[in-house]
Amino acid sequence: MSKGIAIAFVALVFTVAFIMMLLPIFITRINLVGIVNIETRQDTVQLMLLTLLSSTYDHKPIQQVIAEHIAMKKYPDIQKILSDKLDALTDCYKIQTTSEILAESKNPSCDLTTASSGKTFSAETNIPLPFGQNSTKKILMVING
Amino acid sequence: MSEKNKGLGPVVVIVIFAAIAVEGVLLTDLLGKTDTLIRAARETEILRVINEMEFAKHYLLQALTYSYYQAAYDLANNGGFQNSQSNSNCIPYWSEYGTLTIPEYETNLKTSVLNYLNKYGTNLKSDVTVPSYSLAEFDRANEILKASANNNLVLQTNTVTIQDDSSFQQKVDFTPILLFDIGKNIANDLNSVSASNYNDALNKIQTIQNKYSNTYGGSNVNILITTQNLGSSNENFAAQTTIILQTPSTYQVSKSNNVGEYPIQLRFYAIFGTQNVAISNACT
Repeated sequence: MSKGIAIAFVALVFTVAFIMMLLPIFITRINLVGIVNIETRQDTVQLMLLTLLSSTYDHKPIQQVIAEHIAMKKYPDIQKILSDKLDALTDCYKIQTTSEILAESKNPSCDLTTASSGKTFSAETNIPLPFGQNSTKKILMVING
Repeated sequence: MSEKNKGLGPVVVIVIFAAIAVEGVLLTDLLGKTDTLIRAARETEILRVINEMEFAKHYLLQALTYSYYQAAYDLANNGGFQNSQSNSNCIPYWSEYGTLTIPEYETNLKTSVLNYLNKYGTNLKSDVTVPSYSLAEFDRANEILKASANNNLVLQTNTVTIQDDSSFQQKVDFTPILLFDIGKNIANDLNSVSASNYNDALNKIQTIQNKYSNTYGGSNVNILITTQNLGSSNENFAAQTTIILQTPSTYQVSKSNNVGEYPIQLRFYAIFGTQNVAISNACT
Protein backbone atom coordinates (compact mmCIF):
# COMPACT_ATOMS: atom_id res chain seq x y z
CA MET A 1 0.00 0.00 0.00
CA SER A 2 2.74 2.49 1.00
CA LYS A 3 4.58 1.62 -2.18
CA GLY A 4 1.49 2.53 -4.18
CA ILE A 5 1.17 5.82 -2.33
CA ALA A 6 4.81 6.58 -2.96
CA ILE A 7 4.43 5.91 -6.67
CA ALA A 8 1.31 8.04 -6.81
CA PHE A 9 3.13 10.79 -4.97
CA VAL A 10 6.05 10.64 -7.39
CA ALA A 11 3.65 10.73 -10.31
CA LEU A 12 1.90 13.75 -8.87
CA VAL A 13 5.16 15.59 -8.24
CA PHE A 14 6.32 14.76 -11.71
CA THR A 15 3.11 15.99 -13.29
CA VAL A 16 3.25 19.26 -11.38
CA ALA A 17 6.91 19.71 -12.35
CA PHE A 18 6.07 18.90 -15.95
CA ILE A 19 3.37 21.55 -16.10
CA MET A 20 5.47 24.14 -14.26
CA MET A 21 8.34 23.66 -16.67
CA LEU A 22 6.21 23.99 -19.78
CA LEU A 23 3.86 26.74 -18.68
CA PRO A 24 6.38 29.63 -18.52
CA ILE A 25 7.61 28.83 -22.01
CA PHE A 26 4.03 28.88 -23.30
CA ILE A 27 3.38 32.21 -21.62
CA THR A 28 6.67 33.72 -22.77
CA ARG A 29 6.10 32.58 -26.31
CA ILE A 30 2.60 34.07 -26.44
CA ASN A 31 3.96 37.30 -24.99
CA LEU A 32 6.84 37.36 -27.46
CA VAL A 33 4.53 36.76 -30.41
CA GLY A 34 2.42 39.69 -29.30
CA ILE A 35 5.44 41.93 -28.86
CA VAL A 36 6.95 41.00 -32.22
CA ASN A 37 3.61 41.68 -33.93
CA ILE A 38 3.38 45.11 -32.32
CA GLU A 39 7.01 45.90 -33.09
CA THR A 40 6.55 44.86 -36.71
CA ARG A 41 3.53 47.13 -37.07
CA GLN A 42 5.47 49.97 -35.42
CA ASP A 43 8.31 49.47 -37.88
CA THR A 44 5.80 49.53 -40.72
CA VAL A 45 4.30 52.89 -39.76
CA GLN A 46 7.79 54.26 -39.14
CA LEU A 47 8.82 53.20 -42.63
CA MET A 48 5.68 54.78 -44.07
CA LEU A 49 6.45 58.07 -42.37
CA LEU A 50 10.06 57.93 -43.55
CA THR A 51 8.94 57.15 -47.11
CA LEU A 52 6.47 60.04 -47.04
CA LEU A 53 9.01 62.58 -45.76
CA SER A 54 11.58 61.47 -48.35
CA SER A 55 9.21 61.68 -51.31
CA THR A 56 9.05 64.91 -53.29
CA TYR A 57 6.53 67.51 -54.32
CA ASP A 58 7.21 70.70 -56.24
CA HIS A 59 10.88 69.56 -56.54
CA LYS A 60 11.22 69.55 -52.75
CA PRO A 61 11.20 66.78 -50.13
CA ILE A 62 7.80 66.47 -48.48
CA GLN A 63 9.55 67.15 -45.17
CA GLN A 64 10.42 70.61 -46.47
CA VAL A 65 6.91 71.14 -47.86
CA ILE A 66 5.42 70.33 -44.46
CA ALA A 67 7.93 72.66 -42.76
CA GLU A 68 7.03 75.52 -45.10
CA HIS A 69 3.35 74.92 -44.51
CA ILE A 70 3.81 74.96 -40.73
CA ALA A 71 6.07 78.02 -40.71
CA MET A 72 4.43 80.13 -43.41
CA LYS A 73 1.14 78.41 -44.38
CA LYS A 74 2.58 78.12 -47.86
CA TYR A 75 0.54 75.10 -48.94
CA PRO A 76 -3.19 75.48 -48.19
CA ASP A 77 -3.78 72.21 -50.08
CA ILE A 78 -1.42 70.27 -47.80
CA GLN A 79 -4.21 67.74 -47.09
CA LYS A 80 -4.38 66.78 -50.77
CA ILE A 81 -0.60 66.79 -51.23
CA LEU A 82 -0.08 64.36 -48.36
CA SER A 83 -3.17 62.27 -49.08
CA ASP A 84 -2.07 61.67 -52.66
CA LYS A 85 1.12 60.14 -51.25
CA LEU A 86 -0.36 58.28 -48.28
CA ASP A 87 -3.32 56.76 -50.12
CA ALA A 88 -0.79 54.68 -52.03
CA LEU A 89 0.68 53.32 -48.79
CA THR A 90 -2.30 52.68 -46.53
CA ASP A 91 -6.04 53.21 -46.47
CA CYS A 92 -6.39 54.35 -42.87
CA TYR A 93 -4.08 57.06 -41.57
CA LYS A 94 -3.75 60.41 -39.92
CA ILE A 95 -0.73 62.68 -39.88
CA GLN A 96 -0.62 65.67 -37.55
CA THR A 97 1.42 68.10 -35.53
CA THR A 98 0.68 69.07 -31.95
CA SER A 99 -1.61 71.84 -33.20
CA GLU A 100 -2.93 70.79 -36.60
CA ILE A 101 -4.08 67.72 -38.51
CA LEU A 102 -2.15 67.84 -41.76
CA ALA A 103 -3.97 65.00 -43.52
CA GLU A 104 -6.26 62.11 -42.69
CA SER A 105 -7.87 59.30 -44.56
CA LYS A 106 -11.24 59.92 -46.19
CA ASN A 107 -12.05 56.20 -45.96
CA PRO A 108 -15.38 55.99 -44.02
CA SER A 109 -14.37 52.70 -42.41
CA CYS A 110 -11.11 54.14 -41.09
CA ASP A 111 -11.27 54.30 -37.31
CA LEU A 112 -8.35 55.77 -35.45
CA THR A 113 -10.19 56.75 -32.29
CA THR A 114 -9.24 55.48 -28.86
CA ALA A 115 -12.09 52.98 -29.03
CA SER A 116 -10.05 50.97 -31.50
CA SER A 117 -6.88 51.21 -29.43
CA GLY A 118 -4.77 48.13 -29.65
CA LYS A 119 -5.17 48.19 -33.42
CA THR A 120 -3.64 51.60 -34.09
CA PHE A 121 0.09 52.15 -34.44
CA SER A 122 1.98 55.39 -34.51
CA ALA A 123 5.35 56.84 -35.35
CA GLU A 124 6.68 60.29 -34.68
CA THR A 125 9.66 62.38 -35.62
CA ASN A 126 10.86 65.96 -35.42
CA ILE A 127 11.34 68.09 -38.52
CA PRO A 128 13.31 71.34 -38.72
CA LEU A 129 11.59 74.62 -39.55
CA PRO A 130 13.21 77.82 -40.85
CA PHE A 131 15.01 79.18 -37.84
CA GLY A 132 12.83 81.16 -35.49
CA GLN A 133 11.28 80.81 -32.07
CA ASN A 134 10.15 77.31 -32.96
CA SER A 135 12.81 75.74 -35.09
CA THR A 136 11.56 72.17 -34.66
CA LYS A 137 8.12 70.58 -34.94
CA LYS A 138 6.95 67.10 -33.99
CA ILE A 139 5.08 65.12 -36.64
CA LEU A 140 2.90 62.17 -35.60
CA MET A 141 1.54 59.56 -37.97
CA VAL A 142 -1.12 57.02 -36.93
CA ILE A 143 -2.37 54.08 -38.94
CA ASN A 144 -4.87 51.34 -38.28
CA GLY A 145 -3.03 48.05 -38.41
CA MET B 1 0.64 -6.91 -1.65
CA SER B 2 -2.03 -7.64 -4.30
CA GLU B 3 -1.21 -8.77 -7.85
CA LYS B 4 -2.86 -5.57 -9.08
CA ASN B 5 -0.49 -3.36 -7.13
CA LYS B 6 2.50 -5.35 -8.27
CA GLY B 7 1.56 -4.70 -11.94
CA LEU B 8 0.92 -0.98 -11.34
CA GLY B 9 4.50 -0.07 -10.48
CA PRO B 10 6.12 -0.88 -13.86
CA VAL B 11 3.26 0.85 -15.69
CA VAL B 12 3.82 4.03 -13.72
CA VAL B 13 7.51 3.88 -14.44
CA ILE B 14 6.85 3.45 -18.16
CA VAL B 15 4.38 6.34 -18.11
CA ILE B 16 6.90 8.55 -16.34
CA PHE B 17 9.63 7.78 -18.85
CA ALA B 18 7.23 8.30 -21.74
CA ALA B 19 6.19 11.64 -20.27
CA ILE B 20 9.82 12.65 -19.91
CA ALA B 21 10.40 11.81 -23.55
CA VAL B 22 7.34 13.79 -24.67
CA GLU B 23 8.33 16.72 -22.47
CA GLY B 24 11.80 16.65 -23.96
CA VAL B 25 10.42 16.91 -27.48
CA LEU B 26 8.00 19.67 -26.50
CA LEU B 27 10.66 21.61 -24.63
CA THR B 28 13.07 21.42 -27.55
CA ASP B 29 10.42 22.60 -29.97
CA LEU B 30 9.26 25.43 -27.75
CA LEU B 31 12.76 26.58 -26.93
CA GLY B 32 13.66 26.57 -30.61
CA LYS B 33 10.62 28.66 -31.53
CA THR B 34 11.25 30.99 -28.61
CA ASP B 35 14.80 31.52 -29.80
CA THR B 36 13.46 32.40 -33.25
CA LEU B 37 11.03 34.86 -31.72
CA ILE B 38 13.77 36.47 -29.66
CA ARG B 39 15.78 36.94 -32.82
CA ALA B 40 12.73 38.38 -34.60
CA ALA B 41 12.21 40.83 -31.71
CA ARG B 42 15.86 41.86 -31.94
CA GLU B 43 15.60 42.33 -35.71
CA THR B 44 12.52 44.56 -35.38
CA GLU B 45 14.43 46.58 -32.79
CA ILE B 46 17.30 46.94 -35.25
CA LEU B 47 14.85 48.12 -37.91
CA ARG B 48 13.43 50.66 -35.50
CA VAL B 49 16.81 52.17 -34.65
CA ILE B 50 17.83 52.27 -38.31
CA ASN B 51 14.64 54.21 -39.06
CA GLU B 52 15.34 56.57 -36.15
CA MET B 53 18.79 57.20 -37.56
CA GLU B 54 17.34 57.93 -41.00
CA PHE B 55 14.89 60.41 -39.49
CA ALA B 56 17.78 62.18 -37.77
CA LYS B 57 19.81 62.36 -40.99
CA HIS B 58 16.88 63.82 -42.92
CA TYR B 59 16.41 66.37 -40.16
CA LEU B 60 20.04 67.46 -40.10
CA LEU B 61 20.28 67.70 -43.88
CA GLN B 62 17.36 70.10 -44.01
CA ALA B 63 18.62 71.94 -40.94
CA LEU B 64 21.90 72.54 -42.76
CA THR B 65 20.06 74.39 -45.55
CA TYR B 66 18.07 76.51 -43.12
CA SER B 67 21.23 77.25 -41.11
CA TYR B 68 23.07 78.49 -44.19
CA TYR B 69 20.39 80.93 -45.34
CA GLN B 70 19.68 82.22 -41.84
CA ALA B 71 23.39 82.72 -41.21
CA ALA B 72 23.81 84.52 -44.55
CA TYR B 73 20.81 86.73 -43.84
CA ASP B 74 22.00 87.70 -40.36
CA LEU B 75 25.59 88.27 -41.47
CA ALA B 76 24.56 90.45 -44.42
CA ASN B 77 22.28 92.40 -42.10
CA ASN B 78 25.30 93.11 -39.91
CA GLY B 79 27.43 94.17 -42.85
CA GLY B 80 29.50 90.97 -42.74
CA PHE B 81 30.45 91.31 -39.09
CA GLN B 82 29.39 88.97 -36.32
CA ASN B 83 28.18 90.95 -33.37
CA SER B 84 25.36 91.01 -30.91
CA GLN B 85 23.72 94.08 -32.39
CA SER B 86 21.41 92.02 -34.55
CA ASN B 87 18.42 94.19 -33.80
CA SER B 88 20.08 97.49 -34.58
CA ASN B 89 20.12 99.17 -37.95
CA CYS B 90 23.86 98.62 -38.08
CA ILE B 91 25.80 99.61 -41.22
CA PRO B 92 29.56 99.26 -40.90
CA TYR B 93 32.32 101.07 -42.78
CA TRP B 94 34.39 98.86 -45.07
CA SER B 95 36.52 101.75 -46.32
CA GLU B 96 37.46 104.91 -44.44
CA TYR B 97 39.73 107.48 -46.06
CA GLY B 98 41.99 104.88 -47.66
CA THR B 99 41.81 102.29 -44.85
CA LEU B 100 40.02 99.04 -45.63
CA THR B 101 38.13 97.20 -42.88
CA ILE B 102 36.56 94.36 -44.79
CA PRO B 103 35.21 91.61 -42.53
CA GLU B 104 36.32 87.99 -42.84
CA TYR B 105 32.87 87.24 -44.17
CA GLU B 106 33.52 83.71 -45.34
CA THR B 107 34.94 82.67 -41.96
CA ASN B 108 32.14 84.50 -40.16
CA LEU B 109 29.56 82.80 -42.33
CA LYS B 110 30.98 79.36 -41.64
CA THR B 111 31.00 80.05 -37.90
CA SER B 112 27.44 81.27 -38.00
CA VAL B 113 26.26 78.27 -40.06
CA LEU B 114 27.79 75.92 -37.48
CA ASN B 115 26.19 77.84 -34.61
CA TYR B 116 22.76 77.48 -36.14
CA LEU B 117 23.31 73.85 -37.12
CA ASN B 118 24.34 72.97 -33.58
CA LYS B 119 21.22 74.66 -32.25
CA TYR B 120 19.15 72.51 -34.57
CA GLY B 121 21.10 69.48 -33.39
CA THR B 122 20.27 70.28 -29.78
CA ASN B 123 16.60 70.71 -30.65
CA LEU B 124 16.33 67.34 -32.42
CA LYS B 125 15.37 65.58 -29.17
CA SER B 126 15.54 62.04 -30.46
CA ASP B 127 17.37 58.91 -29.30
CA VAL B 128 20.15 59.79 -31.72
CA THR B 129 23.14 61.54 -30.17
CA VAL B 130 24.12 64.39 -32.47
CA PRO B 131 27.76 65.54 -32.19
CA SER B 132 28.86 69.14 -32.17
CA TYR B 133 29.60 70.32 -35.73
CA SER B 134 32.94 72.05 -36.02
CA LEU B 135 33.78 72.34 -39.71
CA ALA B 136 31.89 74.01 -42.55
CA GLU B 137 33.25 74.14 -46.08
CA PHE B 138 32.12 75.88 -49.25
CA ASP B 139 32.64 74.12 -52.55
CA ARG B 140 32.11 77.17 -54.75
CA ALA B 141 32.61 75.33 -58.04
CA ASN B 142 29.71 72.97 -57.35
CA GLU B 143 27.76 75.29 -55.03
CA ILE B 144 27.85 72.75 -52.23
CA LEU B 145 27.95 73.40 -48.52
CA LYS B 146 29.51 70.72 -46.32
CA ALA B 147 29.40 70.36 -42.55
CA SER B 148 31.19 67.80 -40.47
CA ALA B 149 31.87 66.86 -36.87
CA ASN B 150 34.59 64.90 -35.10
CA ASN B 151 32.19 62.18 -33.95
CA ASN B 152 29.53 60.04 -35.58
CA LEU B 153 25.82 60.05 -35.07
CA VAL B 154 25.14 57.38 -32.42
CA LEU B 155 21.99 55.60 -31.34
CA GLN B 156 22.33 53.20 -28.44
CA THR B 157 19.63 51.00 -26.92
CA ASN B 158 19.79 48.06 -24.49
CA THR B 159 20.20 45.58 -27.33
CA VAL B 160 21.80 47.40 -30.23
CA THR B 161 24.11 50.32 -30.99
CA ILE B 162 24.45 51.88 -34.41
CA GLN B 163 26.62 54.70 -35.69
CA ASP B 164 26.55 56.67 -38.90
CA ASP B 165 28.64 59.36 -40.55
CA SER B 166 27.66 62.78 -39.25
CA SER B 167 28.96 64.70 -42.29
CA PHE B 168 26.41 66.28 -44.59
CA GLN B 169 26.52 68.24 -47.77
CA GLN B 170 23.79 70.17 -49.49
CA LYS B 171 23.49 72.09 -52.72
CA VAL B 172 22.69 75.70 -51.84
CA ASP B 173 22.41 79.02 -53.64
CA PHE B 174 25.77 80.81 -53.41
CA THR B 175 24.36 84.21 -54.44
CA PRO B 176 24.43 85.43 -50.81
CA ILE B 177 28.18 84.80 -50.72
CA LEU B 178 28.51 86.53 -54.09
CA LEU B 179 27.09 89.68 -52.45
CA PHE B 180 30.09 89.80 -50.15
CA ASP B 181 32.53 89.13 -53.00
CA ILE B 182 31.08 91.98 -55.06
CA GLY B 183 31.00 94.24 -52.00
CA LYS B 184 34.66 93.53 -51.33
CA ASN B 185 35.62 94.48 -54.89
CA ILE B 186 33.51 97.66 -54.75
CA ALA B 187 35.09 98.62 -51.42
CA ASN B 188 38.56 98.08 -52.90
CA ASP B 189 37.72 100.30 -55.87
CA LEU B 190 36.19 103.04 -53.72
CA ASN B 191 39.19 102.92 -51.42
CA SER B 192 41.39 103.80 -54.38
CA VAL B 193 39.31 106.71 -55.67
CA SER B 194 41.05 110.04 -55.80
CA ALA B 195 38.85 113.03 -56.56
CA SER B 196 39.49 116.76 -56.47
CA ASN B 197 35.96 117.71 -55.50
CA TYR B 198 32.59 116.19 -54.70
CA ASN B 199 31.27 116.36 -58.28
CA ASP B 200 34.38 114.57 -59.51
CA ALA B 201 33.87 111.95 -56.79
CA LEU B 202 30.26 111.40 -57.89
CA ASN B 203 31.35 110.72 -61.46
CA LYS B 204 33.93 108.20 -60.37
CA ILE B 205 31.48 106.47 -58.09
CA GLN B 206 28.98 106.22 -60.95
CA THR B 207 31.68 104.66 -63.12
CA ILE B 208 32.28 102.04 -60.44
CA GLN B 209 28.56 101.29 -60.14
CA ASN B 210 28.21 100.89 -63.91
CA LYS B 211 31.22 98.59 -64.00
CA TYR B 212 29.79 96.20 -61.43
CA SER B 213 26.21 96.37 -62.67
CA ASN B 214 27.46 95.33 -66.12
CA THR B 215 29.76 92.63 -64.73
CA TYR B 216 27.17 91.03 -62.47
CA GLY B 217 24.04 91.86 -64.44
CA GLY B 218 23.79 88.19 -65.45
CA SER B 219 23.61 87.16 -61.81
CA ASN B 220 20.80 89.68 -61.31
CA VAL B 221 22.34 90.90 -58.09
CA ASN B 222 20.84 94.28 -57.36
CA ILE B 223 23.56 96.90 -56.85
CA LEU B 224 22.72 100.33 -55.54
CA ILE B 225 25.28 102.97 -54.58
CA THR B 226 24.13 106.29 -53.12
CA THR B 227 26.33 109.10 -51.94
CA GLN B 228 26.02 112.12 -49.71
CA ASN B 229 28.49 114.86 -48.90
CA LEU B 230 29.26 115.07 -45.19
CA GLY B 231 31.81 117.79 -45.83
CA SER B 232 31.33 121.53 -45.88
CA SER B 233 31.59 122.24 -49.62
CA ASN B 234 32.23 120.83 -53.05
CA GLU B 235 35.95 121.22 -52.56
CA ASN B 236 36.06 120.30 -48.86
CA PHE B 237 34.06 117.16 -49.27
CA ALA B 238 33.57 113.87 -47.48
CA ALA B 239 31.75 111.48 -49.79
CA GLN B 240 29.89 108.96 -47.67
CA THR B 241 28.84 106.18 -50.01
CA THR B 242 26.16 103.65 -49.07
CA ILE B 243 26.52 100.40 -50.96
CA ILE B 244 23.48 98.11 -51.00
CA LEU B 245 23.66 94.68 -52.56
CA GLN B 246 20.59 92.47 -52.66
CA THR B 247 19.86 88.98 -53.93
CA PRO B 248 17.21 88.71 -56.66
CA SER B 249 15.71 85.64 -54.92
CA THR B 250 14.05 85.33 -51.54
CA TYR B 251 14.93 82.75 -48.90
CA GLN B 252 13.09 81.27 -45.95
CA VAL B 253 14.58 83.02 -42.95
CA SER B 254 13.50 84.49 -39.67
CA LYS B 255 13.33 88.28 -39.53
CA SER B 256 12.60 89.67 -36.07
CA ASN B 257 11.18 86.25 -35.11
CA ASN B 258 8.84 86.23 -38.09
CA VAL B 259 9.55 83.45 -40.54
CA GLY B 260 9.00 84.41 -44.14
CA GLU B 261 10.63 84.63 -47.53
CA TYR B 262 12.99 87.58 -47.69
CA PRO B 263 15.85 88.64 -49.96
CA ILE B 264 19.30 88.85 -48.43
CA GLN B 265 20.69 92.37 -48.37
CA LEU B 266 24.22 93.50 -47.61
CA ARG B 267 24.84 97.15 -46.72
CA PHE B 268 28.04 98.96 -45.87
CA TYR B 269 29.57 102.40 -46.07
CA ALA B 270 32.67 103.77 -47.71
CA ILE B 271 33.94 107.30 -47.10
CA PHE B 272 36.66 109.31 -48.72
CA GLY B 273 37.32 112.93 -49.53
CA THR B 274 39.39 116.00 -48.82
CA GLN B 275 37.74 116.64 -45.45
CA ASN B 276 37.98 114.21 -42.54
CA VAL B 277 34.72 113.98 -40.65
CA ALA B 278 34.16 112.11 -37.42
CA ILE B 279 32.27 108.87 -37.93
CA SER B 280 31.18 106.09 -35.59
CA ASN B 281 31.64 102.44 -36.51
CA ALA B 282 29.54 100.77 -33.87
CA CYS B 283 29.14 97.59 -35.89
CA THR B 284 32.73 96.33 -35.49
